[in-house]
Amino acid sequence: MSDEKPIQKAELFISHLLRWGVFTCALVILIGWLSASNKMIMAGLFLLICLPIARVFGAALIFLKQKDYIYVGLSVYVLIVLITSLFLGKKL
Amino acid sequence: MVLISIFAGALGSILGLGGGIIVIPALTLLFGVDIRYAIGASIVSVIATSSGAAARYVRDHMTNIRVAIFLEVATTSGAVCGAILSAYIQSRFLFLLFSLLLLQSAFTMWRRGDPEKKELSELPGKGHPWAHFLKLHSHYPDFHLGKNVNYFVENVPLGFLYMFGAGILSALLGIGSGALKVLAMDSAMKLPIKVSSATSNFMIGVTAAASAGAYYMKGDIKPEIAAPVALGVLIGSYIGAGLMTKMKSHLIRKIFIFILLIISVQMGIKGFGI
Repeated sequence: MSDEKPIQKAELFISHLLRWGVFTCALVILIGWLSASNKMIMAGLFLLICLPIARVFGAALIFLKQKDYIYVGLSVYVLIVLITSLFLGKKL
Repeated sequence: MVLISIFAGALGSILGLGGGIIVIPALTLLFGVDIRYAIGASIVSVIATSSGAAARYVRDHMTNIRVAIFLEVATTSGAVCGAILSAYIQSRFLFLLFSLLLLQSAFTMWRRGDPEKKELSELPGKGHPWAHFLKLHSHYPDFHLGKNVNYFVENVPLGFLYMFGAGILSALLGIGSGALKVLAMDSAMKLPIKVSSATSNFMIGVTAAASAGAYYMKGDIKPEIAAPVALGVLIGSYIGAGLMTKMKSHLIRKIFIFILLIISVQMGIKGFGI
């Protein structure tokens, strides 16, 4: 199938993004926990919360590179709704 | 606390749920944590389960990224509608409705038995025309069967509608709704249970992140509680994701039905306000 290769590339990219993201968050939270630094834990948790949003953004970029415009549109839509809901949440 | 979180992360990543069903009761009942901070920690655990397991599922081609992104359009839109609706709807009634829905789903899933057995021999299937257009069909490596399994995606509009509903419910009830996501993909769209679980896993992080910002800013996320939970869940989800790919689909399905019943009872209790 012709659409097999690009999706595998996208998968590899997203997998790496998540792996390194998770590793960084875990490290920051762990150091914060061991040194009883609440600020550092909160920074690590903040990074963790940002990770899924970064993942949607990453997906949008990779689909753009592959000229898969339907999925660029879908990812950008999800990204916009996510950011909107973050602001909606701030108001509540 | 770390041990329970590891367990929650492992179970959550195998079944495509957030682990809130374990984290919230464990924190409130065993450790006497205020429900407000327990919910905050549970939101963190959902994101940790999702991101921790997804790194592996995506690499192993277990997650269907296209299905995930397509359905995220429905869940995020639903979540915004839910947030707006929340001013007008009584959540008590919804908890009861949700409880009954899960009970009914558990029953139909149990009666359906082991569809993968039949579907494997019935391939190639037909698939829904939208799924052709959106290039949703794919295959996944089943390490238990030791081969690649092709699958076709059915009933795309129905699945989309389910997901929209799941988004509304998660905003109204403050639940991750991973169970509904798995049900929509498994029962409506006829995806294999492992793909449904992995893809749900991928999606719940996004759903949770949308509301996590609000909890973070309200101060519901307490570092001294969330740190051990997040670390434990991350470790657990890594272990769970390794196990799931090797497990028998039928076993995953059985555990899932069991957990559905537990959530149904939990939601029922909330609905009756006991």
